[in-house]
Amino acid sequence: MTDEMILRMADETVQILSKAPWHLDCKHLLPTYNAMLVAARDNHPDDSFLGALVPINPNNGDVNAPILTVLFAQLRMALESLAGANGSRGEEIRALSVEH
Amino acid sequence: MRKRIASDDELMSAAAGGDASAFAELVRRHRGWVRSLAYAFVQNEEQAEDLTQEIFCRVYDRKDRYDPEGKFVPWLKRIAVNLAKDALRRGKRREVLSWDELDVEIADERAFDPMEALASDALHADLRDALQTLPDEQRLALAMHYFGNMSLQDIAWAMKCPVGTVKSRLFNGLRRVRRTLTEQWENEGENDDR
Repeated sequence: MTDEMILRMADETVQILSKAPWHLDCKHLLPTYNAMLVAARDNHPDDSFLGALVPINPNNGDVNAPILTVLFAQLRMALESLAGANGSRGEEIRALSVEH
Repeated sequence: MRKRIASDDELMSAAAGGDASAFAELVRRHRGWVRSLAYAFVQNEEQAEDLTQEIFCRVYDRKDRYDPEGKFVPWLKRIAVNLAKDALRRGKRREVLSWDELDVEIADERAFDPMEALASDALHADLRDALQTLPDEQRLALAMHYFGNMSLQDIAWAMKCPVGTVKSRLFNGLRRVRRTLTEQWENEGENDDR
């Protein structure tokens, strides 16, 4: 899965989550998040930022919409900041320009 | 038959006509994210609460001047950001009207509040710390974009700046966050090796 696909999926998921009631149990989306995180780490195995983000065990407590939003948001930040770190402003801006 | 939910514009028009319950409904709908936006600026629970009240007082004062063309949220964001910037400049609390004085009722139920993510335990602790070291305008832009799910245009409107400036703030904020984290983790790695 490419970075672009991961970013688009994360963005679309967050849009849906933003309309969900805050207390909605979103545990069923954790495997999706974990798979996207693993894919991102596979794409950039030496990146310490992505390496610091760990998959979440679905059995560890409640996962509501705000929590999942945070998880997807930090995954997006880790991926989108990679372009900036590599000095490619064009790619960075393009990534940021994914509109809702 | 299902009751139709009034739009923000309809509620503002009703509030301008003296309907206090319409204004209370607007406050109930938007108080959550306004408070989070305020907190993103002042980083203090009590000051954020005061600032939120001040923002809705300003909205109430200007209810007659609102042009109902479907842009209530951007209008409210602009007021909120401007007052938050003023609060930062003042660097101290300002006395504001209480809710009792404003004669509105606030529901206890809090709306979904994505911008609280800045202080969320779900956020990686080092990332949370790195975000707090950013200049206010970069931190707020990142919070609005990533946690508030706001478009670049809405952020530009709220921050009263061009979209290009928002992109720069996001770009520079992200780059700075990554640099902070990388340096921190490299230092920790070196210390661990000793």
